[in-house]
Amino acid sequence: METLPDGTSELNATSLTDHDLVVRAQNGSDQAYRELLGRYQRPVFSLIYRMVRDREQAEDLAQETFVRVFNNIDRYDPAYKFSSWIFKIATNLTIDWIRRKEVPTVSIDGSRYATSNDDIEASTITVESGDENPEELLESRELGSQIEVAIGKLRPEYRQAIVLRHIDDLPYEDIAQIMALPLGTVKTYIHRGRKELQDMLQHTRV
Amino acid sequence: MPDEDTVTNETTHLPTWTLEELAEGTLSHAEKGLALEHVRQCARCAAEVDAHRALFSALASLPSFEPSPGFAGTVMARVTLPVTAPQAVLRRRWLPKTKRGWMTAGVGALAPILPLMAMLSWVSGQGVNAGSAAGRAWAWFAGAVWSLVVRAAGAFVGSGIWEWLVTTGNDLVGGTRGLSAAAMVFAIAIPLSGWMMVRLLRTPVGMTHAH
Repeated sequence: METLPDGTSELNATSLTDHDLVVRAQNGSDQAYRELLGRYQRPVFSLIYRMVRDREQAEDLAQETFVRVFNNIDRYDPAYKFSSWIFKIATNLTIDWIRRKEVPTVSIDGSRYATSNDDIEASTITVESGDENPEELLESRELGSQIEVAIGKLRPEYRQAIVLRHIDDLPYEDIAQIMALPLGTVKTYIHRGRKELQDMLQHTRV
Repeated sequence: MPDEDTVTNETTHLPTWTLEELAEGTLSHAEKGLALEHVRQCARCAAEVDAHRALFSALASLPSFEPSPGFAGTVMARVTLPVTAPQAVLRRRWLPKTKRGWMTAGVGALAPILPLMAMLSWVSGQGVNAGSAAGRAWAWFAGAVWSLVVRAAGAFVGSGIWEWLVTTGNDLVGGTRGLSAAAMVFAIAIPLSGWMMVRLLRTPVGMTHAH
C-alpha cells in the first residue's frame, strides 16, 4: 500500500470522489492520475470519436486532453465539477481541430457562420444519398447503427450538445458550462439536433 | 371522421418543446400533470412523445468506445508528475497558486515592513534640501505616511493589545525583551493571519459535489 506525502493511503482509490483524486494527484499520486484516467478515458474518447469520426485522430485529441488536464492539475478550480473541466478541454480541442480541418466550402449541415435558424436552413444542403467514401464507411461501420451516422451528419455544435446530453447524460447546466454558451442556446441546439436526427431517422424504426 | 382520440383543432396540440420536455422528464410537477392529461386524449401528441422517447432511448443505448490498449501508458508518459517530496507538498499547499494570490501574499508580507520604511524615509528625508520641490514633496509624503502610522499605532496601543503583548512577552522571555518579542510576534502574525484568511475565503463550500 503506497503512502502519500500528505499521510493518506492509496487504498480504495475507486471509492474516492473526483475531487479527492484530484487532491491526491496534486500531491503527486501516480495512482490518482491512473484512476482519473480510468474513469474518463472512455467517455472522453467516445465524445471526441463521435465528433471527429476518425479513431486515430480521436486518440490524439483524447491524449492531448488528458495531458493538458494532468499537467495543469494544480490549476483545477474545485468550484467546478472535474467532469465539466475535462469535457470542456476535450470539446475545445476537438472543435478547434474541426475548424482547422474544415475546407472553405459550404457544409452539408449548413454554413458555420449562420447565426439564426433561418440562416442555417438556407445554407443547408440536403443529402439524400447515404454514399460515403471508403474511410467514412469504415468509421460508420465501427460506429455501427444508422443513428451514429445521423449523429455524424449534425453540425458539430449540435452533435456535441446531443452527445453530452443523451449519451453522457449530463444536465443542461453542465453542458452550458462545457460549451461556454448560455443555457437557452444549449437548449436550442439540443432541440434542433433532435429534430434533425428525427428527420434523418424517420425511415428507420427509431 | 376523425379518430376519437385525436384533438382535431390544430391549435390545441401541445408545442414540441413541451412534448420533448415531457418525454425527457424535465417538466415541473404541475406542467407534467397538465401535459399528461392532454396527451391521454390526443393521439398526435402521444405519438410525438413516443417518438421523442424512442430517440432518447436509442441515443442512451449507444455504446461508449474504448481507446487502444496503449492509451493510458502513452498519456502517463507525457504527464509531468508533481514533485512528491514532503517539503514540496507543503510548499505547494501553502504557496499561492495564482498571480492574484502572490499579490495578496506580497501585500500581506509588506504590511509590517511599511511602518519601518516610513520611519526610515522620514529619518533619511531630514538631509534633503527642504526648500527644493523634491524636498517639499518628500517631506509631505513622509509626513503623511508617518502620520498614518502614528495614528494607527496610537489606536492599536490605545486598545490595550500592545500592552498585553509586551507584558506577555516580558513574562515569557524574561526581562524587558518583551517589546522585541511582541514586535516579532506581530510581524509574523499579521501576514500569516492575512494569508490564512485569504485561503479560507477562497475555499469553496461543499466541494464534495464533484463526481
